[in-house]
Amino acid sequence: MSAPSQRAVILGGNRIPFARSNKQYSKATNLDMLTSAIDGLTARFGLAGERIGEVSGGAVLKHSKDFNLTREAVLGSALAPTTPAFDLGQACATGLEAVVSLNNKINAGQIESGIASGVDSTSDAPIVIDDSMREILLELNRAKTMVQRAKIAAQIRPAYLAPQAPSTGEPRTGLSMGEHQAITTAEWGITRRAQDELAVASHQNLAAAWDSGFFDDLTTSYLGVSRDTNLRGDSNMESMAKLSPVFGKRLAAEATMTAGNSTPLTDGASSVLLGSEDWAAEHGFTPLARLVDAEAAAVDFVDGAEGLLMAPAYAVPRLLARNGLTFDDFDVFEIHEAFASTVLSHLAAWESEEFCREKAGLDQALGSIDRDKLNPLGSSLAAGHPFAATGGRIIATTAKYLKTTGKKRSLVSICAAGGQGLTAIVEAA
Amino acid sequence: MAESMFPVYGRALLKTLPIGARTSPELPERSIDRSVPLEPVAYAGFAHVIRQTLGDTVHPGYLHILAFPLSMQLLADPEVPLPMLGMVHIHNRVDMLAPVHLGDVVDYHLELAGPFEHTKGTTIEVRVDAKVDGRPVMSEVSTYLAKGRKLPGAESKAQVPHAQFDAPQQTALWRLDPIIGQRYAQVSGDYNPIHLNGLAAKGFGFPRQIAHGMYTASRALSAMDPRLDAYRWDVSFAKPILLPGTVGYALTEGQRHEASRSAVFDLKSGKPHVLSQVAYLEK
Repeated sequence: MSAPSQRAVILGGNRIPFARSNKQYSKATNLDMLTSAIDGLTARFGLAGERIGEVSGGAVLKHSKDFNLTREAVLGSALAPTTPAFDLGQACATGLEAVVSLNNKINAGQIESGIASGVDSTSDAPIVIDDSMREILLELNRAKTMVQRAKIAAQIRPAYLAPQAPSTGEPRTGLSMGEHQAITTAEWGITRRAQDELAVASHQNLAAAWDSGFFDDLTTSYLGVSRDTNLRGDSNMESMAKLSPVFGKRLAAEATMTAGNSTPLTDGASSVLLGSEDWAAEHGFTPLARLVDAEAAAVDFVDGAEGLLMAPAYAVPRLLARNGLTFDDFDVFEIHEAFASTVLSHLAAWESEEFCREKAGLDQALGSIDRDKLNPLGSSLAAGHPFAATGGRIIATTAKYLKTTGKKRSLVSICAAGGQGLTAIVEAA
Repeated sequence: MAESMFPVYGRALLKTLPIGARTSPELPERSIDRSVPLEPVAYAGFAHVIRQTLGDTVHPGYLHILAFPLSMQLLADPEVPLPMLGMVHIHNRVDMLAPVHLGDVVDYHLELAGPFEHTKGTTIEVRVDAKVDGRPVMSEVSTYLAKGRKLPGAESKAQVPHAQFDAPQQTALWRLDPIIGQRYAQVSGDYNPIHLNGLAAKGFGFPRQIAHGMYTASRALSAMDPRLDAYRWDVSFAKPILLPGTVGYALTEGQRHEASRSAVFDLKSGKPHVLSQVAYLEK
C-alpha cells in the first residue's frame, strides 16, 4: 500500500478529435463538446449511472450563461445526476489544473474518483458589446420611470452597437500572445529553421501515433471527425519554409513565427479519469500512471521584464528541486507547443547558465533535453490547441505512453496567458 | 456625470470672435474656490474608462477633471488676454501630497499664473490647490500654450527642456477607437468638440478627431500604477493621438509601482504622444 498522499492514479482519458476553428465544430457549443468528451469516457469505462466523486472542468472562452458549464455537462451526460462538478480557470493551464486539483482531492481522501475535463470553442465564441452600451443597458435596467429610461436611451450612439469578439490579447498589454512570444523569440535568438523543425516533428510524431492506433482508446469521433483536423502528416521543411511570418513584424529582429510554427485556433474537449487505487481495483481498472507533484509559476511580463510565456522555465527548476530530480531522471518531456518558439525558448533558458543562475536561482544550468524524448507523440502544433482541453490531452497521452512503453517518468509543462505556467511530474503506476 | 462644460465652451467660442477689446496683457486677479464631494458612481465611470481598477483611493486624473471646468471658467474670462479655444495643454504637474478617498469632500482653490514667455508663443498656468478637511492633498499646475501669440508683458520662465526621445520597444498596444473620445467626455465633462467630432477637429487643424490628452496621461498613470503615498506626476503632451489609432506604451525608466517614466508613442514614426514621470515626493 502506498503512502496516503500517493493514492491517486490516472486511469485513462477521452477526447474528441480537435478541429480547426470555424470548421466541423463551428456549430458545437462548449457544453456540447464537453458533454461528448465526458460521455465517451463514461462509455469506455462503463460508468453510466455511476456517481463520480467530482468532475472538474473549464473553458477559457466562456459564455456568461455557462457559469456552471461542467455541472451542466454532467447533467447532460450518462453519469449519475448526483455527480457534483465545479468549474475552474487558469487560462491554457485550465485542463492541467483540473487534473491536479482532483488528484489532490483524491490524495487528501476527500473523493475516491474524479473526471478532469476542459473544453474550448473559438468558433462559438462569446461576443460582447461595447462597455458604453453595456453601461447604458444596465442603467436602463435600473431605471424606474419612463422619463429616466428615455433619458438613458438617448445616450445610445450607433458606434456603441458594434459587437466585440474575444481576442487572444493580454488585457494589460493589448498585445496578442503571438506578438508577446515574438519578443521572447527575438530575445532568445530562436531561428526560423529550429521552429519549423519542431513543427514538422510535431506533425510527424502525431501522425505516426494516430497511424499506430495509439489514440484509439483515447478519442471518440465527433460530428464526423475521427482525427485532429489540423494534422498534416506530410508536413516537411519545404512546405513550412513557404509560409510567411505572421508575428513579430513590428520588431527590429527578423520575423520568424508563421502559421505553421504557431498553433491555430482550435475547437475541442478532453477528459481524464482519476481514481484512488482502491476505487480502481474495485472497478477492475488498470492504473496507467500517477501525477506525483505539480508546480505553478508566474512572471511579471506587464512591462516586459520577462516574456509572457516564460513561466514554465521558472516552475520546472522548482519542481525538480522539490523532488530531487534532474532532467536525466525523465524519459519523456511533454512541453505544450503554444508556439514552436515557446518550447525552444524554454529549452534555451534551461541550457543557459545566465538564466538559471540569475533568474531561476540555481547554481548552474539545468541542462539540455534529449530531443527524442520531447513530445514523442506530437503536441499542440499538430493537434491544435483548444485552450482548456490541452491539459487533459497531454495527461492522458503521456500516462498511456508510460504504460505502453514501460518508461518511468514524464515532465509535463504548459504555459498560460497572464504570464503563468503549470508543470507536473507523471510517473508510471 | 461631471459638470457640463457647454456654457464655458460657448463663452470661449465667443471670445475667439474679433469683437470687444482686450487691451491689458495682465491676467485678471481672480480665483475660484469650490468644494466637490467625491462620488463613487461618477468616479467609477472615470476609473473604468482610464483602465484604473475601481478602489477607494481616487486617481489623480480625476482630481484634475473635477477642477477642469473651474479652470476653464478662469481661462474663459474675457479679461484673459489669450483665446481659450485653440490653447494647447502642453504640460501638467500634479503633486499628490496624500491619498484622496471616495467620500472625501475636496476643497479646491484655483488661480491663474502668467502669462509666461514660451519659444512657441505664450503660456498661462492654472494652479490648483486641493485640501481635504483643511489638509493639503494635491497641488497641480496645468500649462496651456497659446501658439504663435506673443504678449509684450509676459514674464520669462524656464521651459521644460525638450528631451531627445528614442522610441522603446512597446510593451503594450493601445487600440483607440473614436468612441473613446465620447466615453472620456462623458466621464470627465470635457466636451471639447475636437475630441468628439472629425469636422470640429478639422476646424482646429487636425486631420481627424483627437484623443483627450488627459485621457492618455491618466491611462498611462494607471499602467504605471504608483504605490507611493506622496509623489509628483509630471506629464508632457507632444503629438496629439488621432482617432482611431493604435499607439505603443512602454516604461522607459524605473519599475511599475515605483518612481518611473513612461512613454505613449507613435508606432511608425516613433514620435512621442505623452511622456510621463512619477517621482518620489518628500512630504
